[in-house]
Amino acid sequence: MQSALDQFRISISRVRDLIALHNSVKAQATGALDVSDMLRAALVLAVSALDYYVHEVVTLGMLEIHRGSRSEPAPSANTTQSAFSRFHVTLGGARQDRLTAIDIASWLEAEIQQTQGYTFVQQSYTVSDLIPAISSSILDKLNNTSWLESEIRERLGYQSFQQADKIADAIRYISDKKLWDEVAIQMTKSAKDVKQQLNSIVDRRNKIAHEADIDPTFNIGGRWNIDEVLVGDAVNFVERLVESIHQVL
Amino acid sequence: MVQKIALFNHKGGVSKTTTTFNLGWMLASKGKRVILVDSDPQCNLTGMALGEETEDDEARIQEIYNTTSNIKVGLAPAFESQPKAIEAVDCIQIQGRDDLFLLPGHVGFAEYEVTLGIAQELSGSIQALKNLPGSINDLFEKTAAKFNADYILIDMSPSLGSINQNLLMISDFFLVPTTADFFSVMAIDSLAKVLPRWYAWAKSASSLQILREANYPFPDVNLRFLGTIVQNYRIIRGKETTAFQIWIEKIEQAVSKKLVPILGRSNMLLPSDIYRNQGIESSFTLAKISNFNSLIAKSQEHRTPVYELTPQQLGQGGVVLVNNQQKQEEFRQTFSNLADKIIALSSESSTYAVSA
Repeated sequence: MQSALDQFRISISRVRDLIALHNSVKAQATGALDVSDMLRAALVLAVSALDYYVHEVVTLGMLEIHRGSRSEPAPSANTTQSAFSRFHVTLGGARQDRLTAIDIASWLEAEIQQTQGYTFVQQSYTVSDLIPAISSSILDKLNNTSWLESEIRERLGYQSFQQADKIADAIRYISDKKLWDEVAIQMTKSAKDVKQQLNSIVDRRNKIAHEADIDPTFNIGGRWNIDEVLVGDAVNFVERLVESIHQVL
Repeated sequence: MVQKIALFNHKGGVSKTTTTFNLGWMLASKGKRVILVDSDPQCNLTGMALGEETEDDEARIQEIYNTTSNIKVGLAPAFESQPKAIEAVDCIQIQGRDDLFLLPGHVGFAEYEVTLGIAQELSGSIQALKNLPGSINDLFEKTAAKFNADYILIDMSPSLGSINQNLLMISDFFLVPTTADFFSVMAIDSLAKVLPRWYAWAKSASSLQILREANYPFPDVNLRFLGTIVQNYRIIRGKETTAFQIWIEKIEQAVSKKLVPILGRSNMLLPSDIYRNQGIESSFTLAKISNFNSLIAKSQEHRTPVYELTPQQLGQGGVVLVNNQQKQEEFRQTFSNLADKIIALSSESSTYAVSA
């Protein structure tokens, strides 16, 4: 799950570079050149970095649970199974392991020949000599969860994890902690404030991404005001938020 | 829980601002924590509370605005779609009175009138502006929590605009300051027409899914009428003049015959025994306050309620001083009674709300 955080940090530093670029161009040009859309881009990219982080951390976390290297979250109060257990996969995806089982003998032979070499297969062994070779082959096979990864990515791919409630829903796949309460402790704020702040940022992001950032007040196509301080503060908040979420997980 | 009390009359010049200041001070001296909100873009309450007598005062006020927040800055995150949440305003402690604070006004608050009007149409524009109708309430609640306030008194501008519609409908109670004249009777008639419409609007706004789920949810409507304050009449030999007496009666008639029945139908009255317990009659006149005359100038000069001015502040002596001190005592008694009634009505209503 560390790679999700590493990716996020790279994305955010690119966002900061973009803001710095805006400040530099703005300082050198006259007011006739409106460079504020660079800030709008920066804000959308910052939220995008958050969205991608949640997708990644949930995908990687679910794979870890599936492999047994992370514990499954406990079911929430009104359910009998955890969100992880209730995640649906297709029979097509799940069938890949069955196909191997149907033809296990030839698969094993090919697998051992590939890992141990042709000469190894030509000799006879006691069972205990063979166990390590067989079990490492089977373990590799069971640990290959690429089919599950593509299932998860496809399912989550349709969703955006930006609004506070949506992020909490996603995190429930991999953790039973009360996300916003825990994050709020990390950030020394109240959970309500953290969610409100995040949702304010996402609301503005949506205005930029879906409404051309137009203020409908006088119907004259004016855009909502934006400046480097507002965007800088929003980026700082998103960064602190993700670092806190990662701490909690 | 803070209780928000709006002082509302869309007719100007009925002493809303002086009443807010004098009443707030009195409530604070009775041990309540009070925030005075200046929602009028004219900023008269702010000027009065901060003191605006000399050029030096202007520089000091400018400094306050450069360093602390105000109603417009507080609401900017919502109204200007800033990517941040609304935060409590750093109210200013009012000089000379503990537990009394000012949430300063801003002339530019009027710029938000049109946008809020569009947001409150409850129609197609709502998605883009869904966070606006509940934002003023959110700012007040956060600020009240920060200052641990018992009461917020809202000094409203004389208008029927969208900001006033919002302010009144998110309040818990309202007072109607009025003067005794023909135009004030007109204003009461007008209120009787407007208030039910506003109430119906607020009812549907608070039940709209999109406004309930907004970042700043529009609150449930819980507005109750406390009564009127008739003021500014002239006294001759200890009694209001006959002409004023006639107009006071006309105001009281208009309130009891027209306004109150309509408020009752819109569920904007407390149960009648709560008023009765406070000795409030069917005219709903909570207080009659005569003209402050020369005291008002001194009161503004010293940023002090009329009843708190010291002999030094009055700068008078002899018979004039004695007369003024007698007047001051009457005003103190009037505002004290008014404050007691408001405390009683608002606390009784909360027990009623719990039991209801």
